[in-house]
Amino acid sequence: MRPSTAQRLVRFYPRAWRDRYGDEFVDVLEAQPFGAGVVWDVVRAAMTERVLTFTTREVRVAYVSDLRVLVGRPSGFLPLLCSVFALAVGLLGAASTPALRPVDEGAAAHVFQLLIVAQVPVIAFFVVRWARGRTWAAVTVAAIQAMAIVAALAPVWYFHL
Amino acid sequence: MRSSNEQSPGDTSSGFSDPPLLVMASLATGAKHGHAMIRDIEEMSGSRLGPGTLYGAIARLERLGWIEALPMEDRRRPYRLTTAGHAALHARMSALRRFVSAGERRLGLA
Repeated sequence: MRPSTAQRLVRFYPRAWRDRYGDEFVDVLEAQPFGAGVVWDVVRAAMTERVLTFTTREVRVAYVSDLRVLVGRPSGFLPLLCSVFALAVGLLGAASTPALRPVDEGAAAHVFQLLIVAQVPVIAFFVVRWARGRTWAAVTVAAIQAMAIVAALAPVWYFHL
Repeated sequence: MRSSNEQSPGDTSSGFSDPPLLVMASLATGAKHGHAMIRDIEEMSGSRLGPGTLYGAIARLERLGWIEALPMEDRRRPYRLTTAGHAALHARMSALRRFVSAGERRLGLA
């Protein structure tokens, strides 16, 4: 296996593990032929190490602390607020009597679309800005933002608005 | 029709698979680094441990204090069994011996 490939595979492991075993592990990897079996073996073992690492108190505390920081950032909470407003707009639209709904897309529909579309660049910025330094907390917040969008879209789909 | 997961009774190609035990058994004959362990384990048991599996076992055994790292030689780090590791390996082998004896008696082989 090429050294660059081995280096990439080692990055799946937690930082503390890499500091301890990284050099010798890369040496062993370089002697292995590259193949799906080896990649799967390394990724599976790395995920196990990450789970084991996460069970330590220090890592859990750091994760919760990162979550608080990221949710407090504008790029963290603004998309969530947009989704909440979009959900409210969708539910209000569903609650209104069909006779009162505009035949064409009304102002509410445009507000709803704006609230959803405006989030996309903000979420993209959030991921680019935070995924490297606070990976797992950033992934968690981005997943919550994505789920909030799905929740906001649910009434539109369910009530055929 | 046989499913792809089925193995014929005589097929031992998958070898014995208990990575921590295999690592300790390999180190019972002296200190070894990762490459040497993979080769030795394959010769001893027929199981070829993947690098991730091997280092998962090494990390676990080191946490338990059953093996210890020696100084790096180039980019290779040898490991050796500790006294506690010797005792743990001995206990595990004794348990396996009892299990094999009981199994052979039940199969009428002993």
